[in-house]
Amino acid sequence: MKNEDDLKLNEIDRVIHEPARLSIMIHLSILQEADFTYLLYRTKLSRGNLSVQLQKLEGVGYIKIEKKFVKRMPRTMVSLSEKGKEALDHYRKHILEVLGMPGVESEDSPLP
Amino acid sequence: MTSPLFDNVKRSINFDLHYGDGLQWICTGLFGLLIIPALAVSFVFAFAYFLMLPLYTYLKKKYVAPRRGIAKVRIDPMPKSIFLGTGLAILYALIILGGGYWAYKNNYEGIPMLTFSVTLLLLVAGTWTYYTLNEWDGKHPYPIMERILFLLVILCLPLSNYSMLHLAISWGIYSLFNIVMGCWQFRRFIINNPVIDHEE
Repeated sequence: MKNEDDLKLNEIDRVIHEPARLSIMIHLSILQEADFTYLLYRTKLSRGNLSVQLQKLEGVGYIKIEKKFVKRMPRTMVSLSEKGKEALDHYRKHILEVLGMPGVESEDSPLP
Repeated sequence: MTSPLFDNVKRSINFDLHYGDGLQWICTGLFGLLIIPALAVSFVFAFAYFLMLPLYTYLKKKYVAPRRGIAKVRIDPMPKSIFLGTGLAILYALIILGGGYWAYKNNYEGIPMLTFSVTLLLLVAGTWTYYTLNEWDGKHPYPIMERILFLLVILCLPLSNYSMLHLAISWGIYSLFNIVMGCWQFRRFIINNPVIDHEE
């Protein structure tokens, strides 16, 4: 049986690998930009949770956040950075590689 | 990057942004209804089109944006896609106007009418295919119902011997369908999505 190192699981980008952040990253990869309200609407995360996840993603440079005021109301615009695009693409390829690697399957595996 | 997950999310986002609030279908229905009096009674009715855009914008800002927020879909930056899209739109318009005029000049009979009808059907089929692949989330029943109704309108046309009255009534029914579906979708959107007062 292969161990974790052989499967390169330790190399998975743990920032993206969290479901809430992965959802945010996938949406931003499709959108040119979106405001905080739209991300709340699509991801169905709580306000606080979304704020925390956005801060983490901005902290590693995967997204860009621009705060502005529209009619005296705050509006936060979020977009994916170039670094974020590359990281997401790398994460996608890596996960597919991990799932498709020989030796992952076992006698109990549902995979053909 | 592309994968089934990304494609599904992209289709879902496209459908939601363009049709999720129902306003696009309401506009389509109103547009269709206005054509009939514009052609049959007076072209003055066509000026009502100019009121539709401000109304659409107002409803989006007042009722949709506070509930859904604002987002822009990423557009292919390559200029050839813009030229291709514009070129296809112009070709589409020329085919409809030119083919329609050709059929009209031949009293909507014979080869001209047949050619025009087949070309229209091919254009519609192409548009539907593009829409299904790029903008339908795979769940909403509107595209299926709309296509069935459209095909019924088209198939009934020869049965009425291409009567203009029949076409006008059928087109009116199709337009009313869009208005009803749009209003239902808009109501559902308003009920299911409360206003988000403040961002944070």
